[in-house]
Amino acid sequence: MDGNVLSGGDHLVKHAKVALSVGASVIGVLSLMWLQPDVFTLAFGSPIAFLRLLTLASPLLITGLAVHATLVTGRILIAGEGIYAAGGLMVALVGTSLPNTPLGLWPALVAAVAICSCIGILISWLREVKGVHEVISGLLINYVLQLLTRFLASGPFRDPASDAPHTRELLWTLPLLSSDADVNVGLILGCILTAAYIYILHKTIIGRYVRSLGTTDGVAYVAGLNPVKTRLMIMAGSAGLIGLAGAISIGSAGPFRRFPADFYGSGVGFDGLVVGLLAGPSAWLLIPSTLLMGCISHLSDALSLATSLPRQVGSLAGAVVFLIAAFFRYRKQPRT
Amino acid sequence: MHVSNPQPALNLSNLVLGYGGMPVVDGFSLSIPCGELHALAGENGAGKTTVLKAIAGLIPVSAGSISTSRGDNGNPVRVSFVLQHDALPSNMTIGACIMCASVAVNVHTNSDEVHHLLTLVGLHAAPHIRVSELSMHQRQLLQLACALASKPGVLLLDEPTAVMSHTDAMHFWNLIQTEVTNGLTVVVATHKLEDIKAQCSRVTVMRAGKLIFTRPTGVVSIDDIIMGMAPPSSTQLEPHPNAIREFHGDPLIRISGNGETLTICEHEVHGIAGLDGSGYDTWLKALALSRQDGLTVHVNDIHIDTLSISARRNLGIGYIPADRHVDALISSETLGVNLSFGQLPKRASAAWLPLIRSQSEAAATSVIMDAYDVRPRDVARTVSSLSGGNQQKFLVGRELERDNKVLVINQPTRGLDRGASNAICGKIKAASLRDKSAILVYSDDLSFLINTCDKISIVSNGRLVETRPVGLWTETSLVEAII
Repeated sequence: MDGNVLSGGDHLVKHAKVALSVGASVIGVLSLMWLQPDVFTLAFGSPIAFLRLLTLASPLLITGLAVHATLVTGRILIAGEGIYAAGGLMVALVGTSLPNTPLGLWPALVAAVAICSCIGILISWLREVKGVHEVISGLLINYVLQLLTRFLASGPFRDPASDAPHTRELLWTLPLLSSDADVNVGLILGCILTAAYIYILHKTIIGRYVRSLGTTDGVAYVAGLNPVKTRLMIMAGSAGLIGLAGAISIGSAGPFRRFPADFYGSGVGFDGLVVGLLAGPSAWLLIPSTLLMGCISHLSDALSLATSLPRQVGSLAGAVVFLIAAFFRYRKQPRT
Repeated sequence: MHVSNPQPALNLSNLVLGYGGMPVVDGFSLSIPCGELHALAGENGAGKTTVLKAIAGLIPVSAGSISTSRGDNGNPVRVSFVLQHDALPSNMTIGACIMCASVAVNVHTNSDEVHHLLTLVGLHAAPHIRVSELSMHQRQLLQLACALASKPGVLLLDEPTAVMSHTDAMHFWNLIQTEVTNGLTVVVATHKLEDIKAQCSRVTVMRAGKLIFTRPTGVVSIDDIIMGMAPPSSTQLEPHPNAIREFHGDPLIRISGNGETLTICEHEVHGIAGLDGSGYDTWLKALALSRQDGLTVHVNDIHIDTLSISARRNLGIGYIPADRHVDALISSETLGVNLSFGQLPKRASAAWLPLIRSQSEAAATSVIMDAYDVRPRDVARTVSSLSGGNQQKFLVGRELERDNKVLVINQPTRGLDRGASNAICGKIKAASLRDKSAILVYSDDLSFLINTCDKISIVSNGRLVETRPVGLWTETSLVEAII
């Protein structure tokens, strides 16, 4: 590693440790992340670094969009992290069991979307029909999915030929757009989905009715749109999209190609929550929100690389952004 | 027992109020003594609600001052506000709402007092019932109970009887008069000028955000109030004369149940009258929304009981719901966006495909605003920035201008002043003249029903008890039949 980076890293470590020890940790580390030129250079100073940012941002765009779609209907899909892992595991399980057919990885991707949509339907059904709040059921399902994916990847479906706990390698993989930074098709898919989503939400009649569900069910109901079915479909679609993002991450040629037991906890699902919250009522803001969270994640990697600070420090920064976003999103509106 | 207090309960001095930099009320001054029932009258958008909101502290004062008298403890007396559209949390119970309202101002209310308050306001519902299960008029009464639970010195009421039947309104006014006798100061904004004359001590008339006059109701006539609210040229003071019309041929609509049949012929405007809880709404819903137990509906000889709401809209059955904030308009969206609500496109795919063009939408919105006198004429405004009456005019205009063959209207004049009500009356009659058109309308404003409808039916206990041509009804006979 470059000597300047290392010396800068020493400098950072000293300051970060001081900051952490005095309790102003997150803000202190955040400022170090943004203001230290060496970390910045490592994160954004080259085309490869920028491509790496896009790689991080592409699943965030999809998960953020999925969360946003539920938010505009007055619900929130909080189980993104677990669903993202479930999608990844599903593509690994089906993908390693597939016979050698021309269909390639497609059946595995369809299976991942289907199983994750079912999880979304379950969460929505519990809310709309049984009255169980989707935050509660989502949090609990997250735990179930965390334990289940870890158990399956390190137990029954573990690659016996490997010491590390992960599934066997996929027979088929999705192509990479750039092998230098592992940019996968998720980036193109995310851009297409976001454009379609913005168009539907802001430029079509159905989009307006969907947005109206965030305020009241009555307007859609009186017009003939069933609010329960609509929310159910949106939650299913959102969960399916998050599952697809997880499936693409695992199913792309590149670092994974197999499902590691510790895949849950990658932070994509939680960061997707922040992206959706930050975007607020406007779907357009999904793009800058995604880039912001991508930058934070990317800077966390760079900081970790340069200073040996744990990458979770960056997650703390993301958590601060999440709290600020949640505060503005859910603060009491002044009555007019 | 009321002890006379020489200090005014409420003093407004040179108030300037507005939204987003646009002044709505300008140079408004008023002094109200303790224990007075004071009315604010004015056209839709005159600024009545804005003044009440400012007194309640819900909007900032741009200039001028508001002061209230001080209680025994030396602190300013408490001000409670009963909004035109309730802000009650729908998932809370009645009892919890009342207790929260009192706890918020450090007044402890126990369950006995909750029962007492519910009885006092005439809300016959158990405290464990959720707000979402209450009718609009019951929610209004619950708001009043919450307001009284906080033991206010000044009570503000915004269109309190707009959704109440005649009997409920009488009970409501009796309660308010009792509270006023006990020293409560009440300021009420209402379009019901007869109520102002009968119930209030003084009336302040506003026009376009300015004070026109404040006079004792004993020396001012309803015509004086109307003249103060709007110059004769700008408002239709007299209702359209309701010519008796004969209808022949097969009815366009048949709603049958319990041995009775409500029939509506082509071009007919059919009114329904009934107390809250009488079941009148099942007759409206059976036609506009969904199957109702015991009722069978035919439109143009098509049996529609099993049809979905969207299928009914595709058949040309439109609906104006009573609660515009819950079922018809999205307050945070612009008028242009709200124009597209109410019914989905007839082809399901059309809801996904067509690009919404803001220019054509603005033009269509502008046409409705002109035709229905929705003020201010700014299509880019959000619904929430309009007064309640102007929101209602926009909603009625939106649905009347659609190419619906059958229209079901619930409370069309909610929050409308007399001039606007008369204008809506004319628009409804005009809409009934379209080919294959028929209109079913419910209103608790009986004079509006008599001026608008060709026939009026009475509903009681869910049953159709009597139907007569409008010429055979008077307001008195309607009240007797309803009760």
